[in-house]
Amino acid sequence: MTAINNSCAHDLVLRFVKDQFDDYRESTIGAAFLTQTICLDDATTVKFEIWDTAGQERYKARSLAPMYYRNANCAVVVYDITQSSSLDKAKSWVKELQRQADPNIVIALAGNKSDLSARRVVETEEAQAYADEAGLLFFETSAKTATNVNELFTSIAKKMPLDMLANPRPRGTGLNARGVDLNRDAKEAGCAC
Amino acid sequence: MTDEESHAMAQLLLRPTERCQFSAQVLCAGDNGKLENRVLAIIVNTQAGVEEACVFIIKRTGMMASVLQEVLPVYFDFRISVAQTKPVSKDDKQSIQDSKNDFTLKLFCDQTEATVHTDDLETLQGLLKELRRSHLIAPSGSIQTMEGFISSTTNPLSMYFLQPEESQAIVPSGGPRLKLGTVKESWVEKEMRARESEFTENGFMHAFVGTWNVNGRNATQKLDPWLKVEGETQPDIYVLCFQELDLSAEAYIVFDGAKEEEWTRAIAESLGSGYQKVTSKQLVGLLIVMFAAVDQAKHIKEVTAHSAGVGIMNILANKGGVSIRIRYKDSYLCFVGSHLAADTNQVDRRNQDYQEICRRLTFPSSSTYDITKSPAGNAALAASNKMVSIFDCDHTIWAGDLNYRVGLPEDVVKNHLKTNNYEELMKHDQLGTQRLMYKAFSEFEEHPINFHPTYKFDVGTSTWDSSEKRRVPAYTDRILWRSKNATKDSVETLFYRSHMELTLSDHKPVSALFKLKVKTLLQDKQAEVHQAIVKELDRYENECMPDATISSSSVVFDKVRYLEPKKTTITIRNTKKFPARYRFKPKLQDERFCKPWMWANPPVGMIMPDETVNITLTVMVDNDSAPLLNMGREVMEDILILHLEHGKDYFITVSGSYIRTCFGNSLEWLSRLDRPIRLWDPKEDEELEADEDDTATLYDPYNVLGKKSSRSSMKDTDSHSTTTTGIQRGQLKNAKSLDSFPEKDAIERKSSESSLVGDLKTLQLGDEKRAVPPVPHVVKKQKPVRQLSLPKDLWRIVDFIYKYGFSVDNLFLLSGDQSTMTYIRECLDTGEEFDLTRLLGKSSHDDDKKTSGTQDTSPATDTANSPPTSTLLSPRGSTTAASDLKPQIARPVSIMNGIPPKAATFGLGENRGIHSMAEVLLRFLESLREPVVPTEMYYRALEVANHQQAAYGLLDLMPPVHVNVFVYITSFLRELILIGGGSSGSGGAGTGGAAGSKDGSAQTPHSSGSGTGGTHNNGVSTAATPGSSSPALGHGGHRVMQSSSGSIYNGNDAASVSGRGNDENYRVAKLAAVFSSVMLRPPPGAERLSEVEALKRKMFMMQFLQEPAEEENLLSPGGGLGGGQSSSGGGGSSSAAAGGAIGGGSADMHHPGAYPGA
Repeated sequence: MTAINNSCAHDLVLRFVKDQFDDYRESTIGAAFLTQTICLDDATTVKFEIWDTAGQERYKARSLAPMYYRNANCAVVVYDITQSSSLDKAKSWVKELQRQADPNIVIALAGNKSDLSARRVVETEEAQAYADEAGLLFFETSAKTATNVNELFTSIAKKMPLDMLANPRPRGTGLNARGVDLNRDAKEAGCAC
Repeated sequence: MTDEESHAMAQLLLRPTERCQFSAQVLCAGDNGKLENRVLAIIVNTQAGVEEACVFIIKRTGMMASVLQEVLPVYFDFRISVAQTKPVSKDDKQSIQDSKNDFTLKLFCDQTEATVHTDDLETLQGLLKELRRSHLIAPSGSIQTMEGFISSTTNPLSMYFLQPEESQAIVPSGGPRLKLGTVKESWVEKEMRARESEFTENGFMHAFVGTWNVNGRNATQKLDPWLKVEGETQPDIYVLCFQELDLSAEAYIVFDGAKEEEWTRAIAESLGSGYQKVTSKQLVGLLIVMFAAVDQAKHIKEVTAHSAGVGIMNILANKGGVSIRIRYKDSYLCFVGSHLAADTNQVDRRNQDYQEICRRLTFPSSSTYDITKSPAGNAALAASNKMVSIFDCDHTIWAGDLNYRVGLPEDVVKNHLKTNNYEELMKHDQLGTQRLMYKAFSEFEEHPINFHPTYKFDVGTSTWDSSEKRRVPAYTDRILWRSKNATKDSVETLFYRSHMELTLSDHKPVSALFKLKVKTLLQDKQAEVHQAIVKELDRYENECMPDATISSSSVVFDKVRYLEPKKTTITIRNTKKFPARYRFKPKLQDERFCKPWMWANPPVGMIMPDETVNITLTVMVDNDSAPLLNMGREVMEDILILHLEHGKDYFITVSGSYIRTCFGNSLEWLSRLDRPIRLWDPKEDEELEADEDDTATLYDPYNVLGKKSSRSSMKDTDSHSTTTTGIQRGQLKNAKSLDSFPEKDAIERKSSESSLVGDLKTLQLGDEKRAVPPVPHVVKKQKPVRQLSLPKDLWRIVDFIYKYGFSVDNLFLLSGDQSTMTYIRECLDTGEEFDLTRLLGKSSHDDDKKTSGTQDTSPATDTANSPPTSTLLSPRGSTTAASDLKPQIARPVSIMNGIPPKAATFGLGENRGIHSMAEVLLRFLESLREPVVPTEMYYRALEVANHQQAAYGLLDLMPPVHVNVFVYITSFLRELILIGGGSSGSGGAGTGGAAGSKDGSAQTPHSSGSGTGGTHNNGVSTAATPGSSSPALGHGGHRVMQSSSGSIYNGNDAASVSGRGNDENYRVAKLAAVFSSVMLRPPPGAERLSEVEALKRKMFMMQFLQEPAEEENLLSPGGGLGGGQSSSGGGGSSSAAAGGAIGGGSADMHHPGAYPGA
């Protein structure tokens, strides 16, 4: 899984993998690799191998992101509900993924910072409508409060094609999942999974 | 160590399906070669009907601790050899005696060999017997089950995985396969087990277990005494085992359920309506039946029953075992009822029966749900369709007529019984002793016996056997238990007793009530714990990934200049406690990890914990990387990916401000640039950028004819005027700045061969020696306004040399000064005027009117003004003896030989500026993206190197700007040769101009001015000696030229020793060598320049530096050839001299790439 991230995606990954949230941390300059296993109820374990990559425009322009998403089974694209431009950026990432990534990639859209509902500018309905149209999983999440974070990854795991689960990589039940996460500020896209 | 201990030691290593067939103490060479005690054991694993044997050699390391030193599977290729250790002499009786108890035994299998020694004949015999037996039945396939053991001898860790959990079970696949996934999974399981209490709720259940050998009798007595439990605590389940239910012969053949029904009815009657039958299993005389309290039935799931006959031939099943396995809540319980071989002496047989029953009583694993495994793990287990043993459960209870006796005489037993001294009896109980010896039931535990033996009684009474046999009373009927992961409270035996009241059999029934700990799985909690453990594992995994801090993720290089390296350092610190390896990783589709103008060193490396590594990032723009940057097509920006092995990537943004230069560009592009490169802004001048590659399409060397015609048509339609001479010298004479650059209008070059030659001719200098070199004009029709005939930068360089440098000795043969060269380059790039003071020194700065003629007339002053060293360097130095000159010329004085500029500049004296300018010219030509003679014409140029006409013809195939530059340079050189050659006298220079007028007047300089030449001649020809082996090609070429041109070199022919003539040749060859090396470059990746190639290259160049053949010859190809033929008789000595000169030149050419600073 790849997470192309802006800081939001990075937060999400950090919450998912380490169950941490840090208000003041450096943004990713590079691509961090992490693993996380989740157990589904139906007797399946899914191991996420996550690339959390910087999604800033300059890196996107340099085509660095494809290094991380090209073999991904899934991607999380994250936007910031308090920044309207971030959804547009997320959409462009989705478009790129749908065009460039593995055709079977599972893409999830995550509207982060749902804890800051007072500053919301992107309405849930709008994002949901877009996600439905584009065939994405959709969640509004909060890396800060952990709301919906596990749910997001669990539903990605559940949506993974069954044959992938039946034919795990040699390493075990691992899936190579990726996510893209976009914040609306200039340095965003991040992928996690 | 006793045999028992040996045996026990071997037993410790074994899994339930394995048994130790034989064990003995032997001697075996230890690590240090000394003989040490070892236990040799033959281990047999019987599984799925296949028996596999192995020889273990076990080293004792502690009280009950041991390691496997050697494992030799007894396999079809297993071999044994026995020898007597000591030599035997027939005469020496003592030696014969000794040899009888000293043997060396060698064991071989596949790749292993072991040698053991024993002094005990009995041991040896037993060992051999067992090995032979094992070998006979050895499977022909590969050893499966012993694999784990075998690998454990090389990898002690693997033993860990054999124990303790898995060793308790029949490992389904026939041996632990040690895979990484398995290790990880087993770690999770281990953790789950350790934290089991967190997700299970413990409870207790009461199980009543009874066993009775009913001797074939019917259930004629009420069973209440056996089955009734006093008190409030009533059993939750009853498991009753019967033996000898039916002794009739038919029972073996025809299954008859009548007896079972009868006994089941009797049980039900006794237990009442509170209990109901769960299941039962009968095997001939064996019956196991389970009842459960009605209210407990709901907790009982996954009920399976199985039987295994082990009696005669293992088929008739007069002995054997029956078993029921259930899941009670979330614990598995397994009950076994068995009847083992009878007779006091059949202890081994009973042990064997036990092993056999253990092995053969198996259950499908689909009935197993291991709560410690992940759901996926269980699903996999169920799907695997493998069998699990009676030990794969929480509690195993074994009851039955085990037939172990008391090893004491009848009267002794009875005496002890009078005092109820059970303890004493138990000391001699066969089952007890066999268990201690790990021969049977060693995994089981038994509650202390506190009742009389249950066998043998006269039927219908409680009287000991009164028959003739008077069998010794024995505890044949037993109930034992075993718990997996036993804790103190996992099993409590509430009672263990016999029931004397029941007399219908010759055995008394036995019963025990167990309080068993059973668990209930809390599924939510279990999922939580499992997730937590997996997370923990993930955490470790993530923590084991390397991490580092990097000093900067962005590097900026300020003012990066052409050929000036700039460096910066980034620091990586390893923040983990283990070494990390890093490397730079190329981006997708890239082969290099960075742009050609930069490098990182070291690009890969290892960082020790808490240590730092400095990586130096260097940017340097060289000829390869300059063009795109100069043209503004590329900006100095890149992102490096620094990858930590098995970990993250760091992005390092690199950017720099590049200062553009006229070096490292294409001629086409440069000649379209109408201002100094720094004053040009690529952003506002997209046009220039856009058509940069036009020439490539215009120019088609493979379609010369077509091109020619298109050129003529261009000419026809072109409205621009064409000029052959084009330029008014007077106009140009005083040109000092770019503003007065000779040409603003474009002029189309004549494209026919004749006009080319005509151009060349007319390009010869007129009689004004000070004049600016003429500029041939060619323009591309499409961009007339923007097209200059050649790059103005080139013009500025040449103009300067022409003005100030013609009289300087050794021009182009000495290195320039680095800082001066940098300064010159800067002036070219910015358009700034050359500072004459700086370049020419104080004295000459006001001398821009100074003519080369003036200098020519004062050669003596020249040499006099120069420091003494300078004269040494000068081959013309009249003060230098010829013998001194020799090394000077051949020595790497010239810039072509890679002398570092500093070393070479001493002695440049005030000509430093000129020499620097001269080198700048060479460097400029060398830096061109496409050499003056385009790379793709390189080999063709070599081919025509001997043929002047063909060489000239080649020019016509070159792109226009290239032709212009080529002609421009060669014209300049020719003039240099003519004028500059006259350093010895003004005459040469004076007539130099005349050379421009077509014919033989150029002879003049050669025939005149031979003044000091004589000494040089010696020097030159001696220096040329190494080149005398130069290929005949060179000589031939000269001959052709000399005779066909006739006029020019006649003087040489006539006066072969004329120093002047040789000096001329020398200069031509030298300059040709220097300039050909920068104007003709082999394609990138071509092999190292060969001597022949260098020579040919020079020859090509020479064709243009010498006066062309007569016009008629050039015009008619036949004339040229004829000239060649006629030349064959050409003067021998002169051609030798020419060859010598060539040789000298080529000697200098050996290291064309060694340009200082290139």
